[in-house]
Amino acid sequence: MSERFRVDLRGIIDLTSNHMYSSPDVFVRETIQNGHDAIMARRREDPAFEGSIRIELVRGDKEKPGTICVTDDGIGLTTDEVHEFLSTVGASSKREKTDAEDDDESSEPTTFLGRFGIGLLSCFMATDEIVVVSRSARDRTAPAVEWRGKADGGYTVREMPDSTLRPGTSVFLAAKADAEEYYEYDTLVEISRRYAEMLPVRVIVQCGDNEVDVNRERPAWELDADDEVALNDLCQSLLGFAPIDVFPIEAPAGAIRGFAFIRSDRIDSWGGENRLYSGGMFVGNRVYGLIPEWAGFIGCILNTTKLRLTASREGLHQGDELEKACDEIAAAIRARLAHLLRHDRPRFERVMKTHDTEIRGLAVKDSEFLELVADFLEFDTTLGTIRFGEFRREHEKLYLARTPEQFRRLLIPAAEAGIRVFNGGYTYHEELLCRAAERYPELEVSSFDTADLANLMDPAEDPEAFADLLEAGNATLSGRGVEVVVRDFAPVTLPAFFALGLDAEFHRQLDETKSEASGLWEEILDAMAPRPESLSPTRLCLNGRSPLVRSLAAIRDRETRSDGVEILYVQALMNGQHILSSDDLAMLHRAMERLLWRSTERAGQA
Amino acid sequence: MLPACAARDVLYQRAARQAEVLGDLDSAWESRCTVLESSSSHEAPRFETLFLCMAWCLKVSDRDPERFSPNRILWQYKWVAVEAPRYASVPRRACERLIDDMEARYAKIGWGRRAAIHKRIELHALLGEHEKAIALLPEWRALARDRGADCLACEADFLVSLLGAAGHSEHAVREARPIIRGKLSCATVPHSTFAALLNPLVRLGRVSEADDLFQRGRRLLKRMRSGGYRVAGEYMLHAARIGDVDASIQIARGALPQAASERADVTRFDWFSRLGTALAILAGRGVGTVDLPKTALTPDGADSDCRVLAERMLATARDHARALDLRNGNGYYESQLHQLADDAKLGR
Repeated sequence: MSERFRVDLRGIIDLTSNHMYSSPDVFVRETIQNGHDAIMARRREDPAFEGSIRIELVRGDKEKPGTICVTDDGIGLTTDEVHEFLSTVGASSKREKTDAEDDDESSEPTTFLGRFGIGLLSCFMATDEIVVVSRSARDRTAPAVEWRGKADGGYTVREMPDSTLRPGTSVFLAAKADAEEYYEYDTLVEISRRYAEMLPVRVIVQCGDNEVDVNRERPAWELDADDEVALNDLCQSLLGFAPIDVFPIEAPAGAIRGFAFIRSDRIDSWGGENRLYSGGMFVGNRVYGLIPEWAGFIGCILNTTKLRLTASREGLHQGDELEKACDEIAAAIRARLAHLLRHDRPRFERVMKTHDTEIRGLAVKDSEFLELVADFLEFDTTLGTIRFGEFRREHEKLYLARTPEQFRRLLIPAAEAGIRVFNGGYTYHEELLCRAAERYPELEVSSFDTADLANLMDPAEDPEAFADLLEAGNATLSGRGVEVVVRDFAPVTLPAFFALGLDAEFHRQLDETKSEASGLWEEILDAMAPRPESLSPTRLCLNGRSPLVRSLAAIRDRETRSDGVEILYVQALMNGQHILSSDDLAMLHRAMERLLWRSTERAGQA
Repeated sequence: MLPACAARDVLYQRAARQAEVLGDLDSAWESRCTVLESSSSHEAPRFETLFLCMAWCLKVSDRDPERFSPNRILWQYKWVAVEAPRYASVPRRACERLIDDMEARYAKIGWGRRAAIHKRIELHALLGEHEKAIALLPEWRALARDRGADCLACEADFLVSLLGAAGHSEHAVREARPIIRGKLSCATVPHSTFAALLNPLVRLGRVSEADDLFQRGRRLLKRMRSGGYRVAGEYMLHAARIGDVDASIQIARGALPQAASERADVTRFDWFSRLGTALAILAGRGVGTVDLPKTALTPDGADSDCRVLAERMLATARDHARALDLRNGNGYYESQLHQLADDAKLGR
């Protein structure tokens, strides 16, 4: 047997009015929206008709609550239409129209913004009773009609045959407890302006003698793209910053028009401030899915006449159409940056300087954009900052330090040796260099670490002078898997250089973790470990040109030489900003203690 | 906070080691958990390092579960459990024990068996035992989704690739319907699903549908934030098959450096077997030379002759296939090379 769902009307009204929207102030938007739609419907019948919406506030006092009356001179409703559209949750004159329009591509869905017919229920967030008085402009013989609806789902309808009301609709709302703040003039003006300032219908907010027209002279997207002053003012007033650059956005897939503004300040988080309007009505300022995630350095003011809104009208319906629109906006941003690069280099440089991380993030994700900017990206190297383009035109091999530690360790000795190593340790630098190089097959990107540098260092000119020192050093450090060698390198002020390759560093960490892991994980980590024979040797490179090392090599006492090497080892670790273990520190302390003891003993003997 | 990238992972790992030396276990835990959580969401994760993080986190959590909650890391365990079998050096028994361990840990915190069964299905698929994997599906389907479950889109995506790899092309395409129609999607779906469907569709003679998914998938791939190169191989192969030489070479160039720096045998096999096959097809179409980015496989002065490159890539794939087949105790991966060569003749 087929059954029908039972619906709790009070629950449905509570759900749609109190839980669907992010803020109670949307009741202002919904009443303006209804007025706008009614005027658009009347304009269809009389294209010369202008129409307007008047929001009148009567302040409350201790005796009576404040009231808001939203009046439009739009198409109005007959008694039958009131029953049909105002008293049936989910029904809407607008929806019927819109569905028909969906099938008819030649129609203009833009004129009918509401799709759900439930917007009026949002008024229950600010009132306990909604009163609608309406008179049809289509059927001038029809009497005016009054509809009173309550949050429990009860309503009454009363015809007013003697009324001289002009065609249109008025919605009366009396403040309910906890909603008085919305019945303040300044608040009401602010909310109305936020939602309706771009609407193509005049909206006036009035309270006694105070009256303000909230509309802008022209919607933002109608401004002249060359009118930099007006656009800067617009950005300042709506997005709160002075832009570096402004450019128009058109995304046909979503019938989107508007402007994008490149921020003049750096922002910490991804995803910038974007104001989206639908048919001129404000939707939201961080609408998900419309602006590419990487475009945090952009603020947008956009209007769509096509993209579908979610039920709350605070977001966009996800789907292929939105994806295409997002792609088109991404393309417009890229195209603008390309334009600046070619025709307005100073401005482009400013954008790059201000939004370095964001621009690099974009380049990592977007190969077309990377192609555009790769040559202009600057990178830190051991020989100073260089643009990628400048480098790749003259070199076939690019050395890349993959961590900031490796770069710091390489910085001085590599620079002294004239070797340019790129710092891949900054955000996106490694990814960018690898990706940028993909475009140039002749350019090889190689990981470069301290072990590689040690391999390039020259052996000492007089190795025999260091034979005893090496013997003592290797005896003391071999237990740590460190080979002591003597190399000639600059600067002479650097007595020792610790060369630990990335692979060996990983292997050390793996050994440390493995030693404490459970049986299963020990096995897994063992299997992950690189083969020992494939690891680069870990070396302490003593500097054959360093006076300190040469003095140490000249000392006859083997124990002192050995202690000296241990101290140089820990010093090299500290120079390289390696994390010192308690073993390392103990070694340093013991070596220094022994040196002190021997020197005081000798002093005593003397 | 820095955006998710390799540099951030390195920074957090350094912070973790520093904190550990200073005896600040809480900070070390926090840093390693952050690496686990974020490094699978960007372009350049260093997979082996994640195993270190997981091993360390499990160790400290086992010692003091109140202070270091296992809930924080067990979601990532699923990922680790099916990443480990991608390395031929990890014994088969260890792979199985890893999933047993995961299941036991999930049970301890009140998660069900569903995720563990799914991981066993995935493990069988990685071992080339597709019919065993398919035989487990009813047991998995009978269990209700719980907190350990992957997202619906990922589950559907895996099912499609499993069925496709097992040769059940029609079934794979049928299961993919909700994804193709846009009803199911996530960070990696549908572009990974579209990649997995290209070959089944071509096998079924539905070449125009494959071409449609190829176009849609490539568009999505360009926007992808992470791991794109792992599925790019199928697009590259399809492009070669339909004669879109430029697209095929472009994908190869884009993904080769990352693929070459991979260590996981299955991932390398997947990529190099497809690259080799694609290059062989291109050579057959008269492409003489191809400039690929310089890597260990394409060193300085290496021959850029398309046919020579194809052979080199296929030889690399064959090395990985042998290592995997030896570990798995079957001939699945070697047979895949023959299958790819046969499939290359389709749809041309």
